[in-house]
Amino acid sequence: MSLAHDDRDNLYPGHLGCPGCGEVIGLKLVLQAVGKQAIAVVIPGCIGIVIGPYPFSTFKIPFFHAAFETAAATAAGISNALLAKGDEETIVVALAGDGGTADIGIQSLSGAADRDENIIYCCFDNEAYMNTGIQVSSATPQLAWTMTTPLGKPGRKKNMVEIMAAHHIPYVATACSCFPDDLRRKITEAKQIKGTKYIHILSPCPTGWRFPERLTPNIGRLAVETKYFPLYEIRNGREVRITHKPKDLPVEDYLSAQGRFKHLTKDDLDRIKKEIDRNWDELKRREDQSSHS
Amino acid sequence: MALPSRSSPNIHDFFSAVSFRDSLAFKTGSQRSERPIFTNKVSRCRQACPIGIDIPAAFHKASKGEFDEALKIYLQENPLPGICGRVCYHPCELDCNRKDFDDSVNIRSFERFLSDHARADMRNEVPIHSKKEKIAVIGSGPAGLSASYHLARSGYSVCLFEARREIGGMLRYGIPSYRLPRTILDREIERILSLGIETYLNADIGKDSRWNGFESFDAVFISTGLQLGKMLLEKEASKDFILTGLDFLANPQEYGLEKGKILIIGGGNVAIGVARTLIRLRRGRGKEITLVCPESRDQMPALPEEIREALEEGITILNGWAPQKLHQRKGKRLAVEFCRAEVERDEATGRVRIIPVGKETQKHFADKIIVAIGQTARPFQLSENISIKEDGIATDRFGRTSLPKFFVGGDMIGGKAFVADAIASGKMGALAISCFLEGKDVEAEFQRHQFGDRPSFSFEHFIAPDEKNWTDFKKVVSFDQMNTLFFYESPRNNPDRLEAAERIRTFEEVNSGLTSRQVEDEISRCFKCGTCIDCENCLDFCPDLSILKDARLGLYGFDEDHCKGCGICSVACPRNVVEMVIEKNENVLDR
Amino acid sequence: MFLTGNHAAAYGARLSRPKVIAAYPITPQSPIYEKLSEWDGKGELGGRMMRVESEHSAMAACISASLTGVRTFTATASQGLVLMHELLHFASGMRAPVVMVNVNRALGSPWSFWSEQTDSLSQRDTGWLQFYVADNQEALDTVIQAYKIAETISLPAIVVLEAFYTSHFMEPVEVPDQNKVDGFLPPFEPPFKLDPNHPAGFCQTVTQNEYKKFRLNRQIAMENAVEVVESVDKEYEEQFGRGYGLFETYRLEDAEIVLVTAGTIGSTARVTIDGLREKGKKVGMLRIRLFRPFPKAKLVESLRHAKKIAVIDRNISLGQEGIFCEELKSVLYSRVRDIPVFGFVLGLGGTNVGPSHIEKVFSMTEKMEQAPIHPIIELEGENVSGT
Repeated sequence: MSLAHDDRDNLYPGHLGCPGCGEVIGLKLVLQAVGKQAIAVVIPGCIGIVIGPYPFSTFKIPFFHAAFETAAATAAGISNALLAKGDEETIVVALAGDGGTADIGIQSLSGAADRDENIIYCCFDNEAYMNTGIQVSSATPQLAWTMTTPLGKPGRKKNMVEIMAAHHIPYVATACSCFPDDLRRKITEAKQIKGTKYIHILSPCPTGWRFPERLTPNIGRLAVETKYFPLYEIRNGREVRITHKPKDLPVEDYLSAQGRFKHLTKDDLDRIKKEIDRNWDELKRREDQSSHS
Repeated sequence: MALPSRSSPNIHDFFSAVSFRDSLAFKTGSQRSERPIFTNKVSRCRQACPIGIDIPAAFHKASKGEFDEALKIYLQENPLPGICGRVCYHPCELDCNRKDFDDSVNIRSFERFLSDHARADMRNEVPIHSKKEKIAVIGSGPAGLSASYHLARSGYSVCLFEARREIGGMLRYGIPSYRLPRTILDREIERILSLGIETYLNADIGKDSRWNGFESFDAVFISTGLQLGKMLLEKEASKDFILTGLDFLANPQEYGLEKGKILIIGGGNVAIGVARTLIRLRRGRGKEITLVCPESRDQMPALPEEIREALEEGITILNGWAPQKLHQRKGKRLAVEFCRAEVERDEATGRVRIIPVGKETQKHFADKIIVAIGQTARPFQLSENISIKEDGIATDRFGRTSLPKFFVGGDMIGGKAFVADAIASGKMGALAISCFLEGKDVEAEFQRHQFGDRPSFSFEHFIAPDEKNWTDFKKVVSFDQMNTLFFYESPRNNPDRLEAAERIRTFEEVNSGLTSRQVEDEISRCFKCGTCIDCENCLDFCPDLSILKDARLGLYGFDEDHCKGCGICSVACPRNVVEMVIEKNENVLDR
Repeated sequence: MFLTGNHAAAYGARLSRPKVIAAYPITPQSPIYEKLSEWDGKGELGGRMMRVESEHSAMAACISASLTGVRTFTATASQGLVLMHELLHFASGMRAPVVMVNVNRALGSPWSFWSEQTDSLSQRDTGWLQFYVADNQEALDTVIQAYKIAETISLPAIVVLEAFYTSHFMEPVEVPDQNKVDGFLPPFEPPFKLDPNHPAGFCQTVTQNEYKKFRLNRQIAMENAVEVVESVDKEYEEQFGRGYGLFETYRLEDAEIVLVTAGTIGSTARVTIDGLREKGKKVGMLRIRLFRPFPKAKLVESLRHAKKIAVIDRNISLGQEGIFCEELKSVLYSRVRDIPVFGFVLGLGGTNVGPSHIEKVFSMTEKMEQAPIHPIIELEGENVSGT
């Protein structure tokens, strides 16, 4: 019997991420789909640890661990350098967290998208600044506990997906690290397109969301199946396509499994349910409109 | 590495942080407190099946388009899938984990589809006549056929003796052809006999000239069944007017029952079979057929689908009446008086007690009466030391008798009287005989190949132990061990049946089976509980890239150096193949 | 050609054939960006121009493009430069030889558009080479030289012009022939680059000892860079007929009072010194050109004979003094203790430093025995705090 690692892997084992990390699952899947002819940009965050300490790298492709707010600009610089050298094959992929995307990095991301730079930008959304110890970010969902919002975040989650769609870049998609084939397909799709591609990947975090580490697959599946985090694509800012038909499970199943939501009242739940239904109806309406125009 | 000197502008060491080495040296598994183990387990359907067919493995093969391989998996335990796929009472479906999710999988229809459309030639797979021993099998019903098949594929020479004109026993003489077409039956039998089994028809043991006595065999398997229908009221009427259901079904044309009012007494499959056969003999005119039994509708031993189809066909069924008296007057019809009754059934022994209730009575008139209230064995003296009594022969649970080389199986040894159970009993006989001839302990062997705590076991595992050895037969996967987040609801597919008005005019098969599109659907509905299907969820979900695979053998393991023991693989596996156990490796630090 | 300083710098960049230019407009740099855009529009640049959304992103893109193995260029001023501050450290640490033109402009607050050197000087700790030019020709030539120097020692370089005095004033400038520049500047070949054929991780976390060694490597590289600057300048002089040296000296050999300054004040000083010499004053000037690394040994050697040194800074490190003065004092201190240095902070906010001001500087220096502890911010007869 000769047991071997998955030969699709574009990462080496031996990283210092938390056991049960949902973000690293997504990273692994993205890199599988991206392949070997690629250069990655990484910024401070959980992935900044997963890359390993000098002189050891967990990546099988080259990467540059750039300054926090510069993921998109750094990726754009590499992309233009490659084009200037006549290289149209090498993929440039930015691997950023939600803080580095929606907060401090939003300017450079918007700038790159505005210029339609030829990069694949992946936002690994674990819904807070997890690497520095669970502090709130604009991607933290409303009412969630974090170390800096101990009573729950008062404001809502910033909708980066719609912000990016408003740039009318060729491809925007949501994905979840617990839907591997869907995520890989979306990266493969992005590779075929020229211009800025933005993939928003929900990454369950046992450490910050407060659930037992082995349940990461369930938390990710529930997020999507309860319609809390729908999986869909938007092309050129207008054509919406839902890529997974959810089972429509009750959202309590998703929320009650996480310690960061354990203080939610019944009123909170009702409000959340109403909002989820409204968002889903609107998404379906946009999808219908897209298929008719 | 040292810094460059001030005198030279060449800069090499510590130029800038660029890394060329990989991270494998970081043994992130050193703090692990649990480790994953990969073991196939038994599904509930397999455990419930008396024959112990590896149902998930067959579905898995079929899901890859390998229908012939799927049929082979069935044939590893059950030589008669075409029959079970039509008439089995499907205890597999009653225990199917999917029924707690949306609806059970149509496993029986799948078995039928395989046997009807796939090909498997067992002759190439088994060592025919490789052993020197010779075994006699007496009685060619499902038990005898099963025993013959399993013994022949083990390499033994088998002589199959049948008293009647044709092979099949109850399969031919007890199950009507609208349920089990004779072409199918013949095909299934031929598959068994093709393994080099010698058959002797019209053979009356003891009297037959071809019989050389039990000494010419190394072992004998007796499965003559319960061939006699129990009679009732016979003292009160002549044989021209009253017969047993079994006698009727063995030769429906013989009794001139195409006309006249018929009263059927009994609530089991034989009684229903008689009624539905009669209506077909009469090309659909069912008005003069009445079935009366003491059981309530729910208590009737006949399969619910049989009862439903009979009612659709216009058969009158009266429940809760027990026959008391019979009057026969010259020139006039028979009159049977019934009283109100209740039935008490002992689930363990299957024994039934009929209790008259109250004073209400009913009288029914009939030209002929058919009685189908149970069966007994034909008493028979096989030899000096061994005789079959009305209630069969005493055996232990492996079919062994007090005489070392005599084994018994089938309806005769009591217990459930379904086809699947008879086939299982024949398999048990083959196991007992093999152990007897090879000097093995049948108790120990049975335990090794048994599923959970049920009477079913794997004969395939007995003759070809799993080299990969990663199925744990003692672990059965329950519904709450499945991760249903990975499955999506979809309705069960049911086969079409002929319209009642049409079908009662012929003996054409009522159930048309599933279409291939429907079968594809059922194949994907099957969860394949406890059987690894290479879905690779474990590989996809492992955050530490620590699941290992042997692609050629389809086996899995984990990277001891790097697995952190987070347990995600055990949750990501939808079918409970991966479990976490306490890490005992001393090289791993204690928490 | 009759060119502004901005356009001269743009020519310097164009001739050096950068493959990626990332820029963002800011007064008074915008004409550099516009000129490059005009050439890019005509297809004359032969690279990729990134019209980014902030200077911070401009530097980020230049760093990563440089690490991908292509020559890069950007230009900025004042707010833009200090917005890049974090990334200036980054570029130097990754040994990315980016060349940037900075047009000195006073930093807000309050808002001002005119010349002051505090913006670039406040970046002196970032590990970039710094060149301060006095005129448009020097600007063009220094940009080309900077590429060769930066790519030799693998450290980034900044070429500093002055708002309006250099950037917008037109002067005759000789634009070298492209082929000659190609002969002078070989293609960029870094020792490491982001390359899927040779995968490596760039810029991970290091240990304390490793960090120290990476930093010291750069210090040593900087120390050795002085030689490289000199030799490149010599080579340039041989090929193009113009050389500038590590610093400019003007009538320094027998000067008793030496003025040390940088930028356009230096060119005004030449006229002033000529006037004073005619009156019999033994005065001279040393105009700082290479500031980082500071050519310490040569500076000490050149100034050793002076009796007094006056420094005019068009900048200030608040709470301390003019930065060139402070740096000069620290260079002298290790070898020379007996030359008093008189620090003058003039021209802040772009105020004019004309010949009369410089004359006053010389006369005040001559008169004073001891240098005051605080920088001199008021010339005789001036009322700075008034109008």
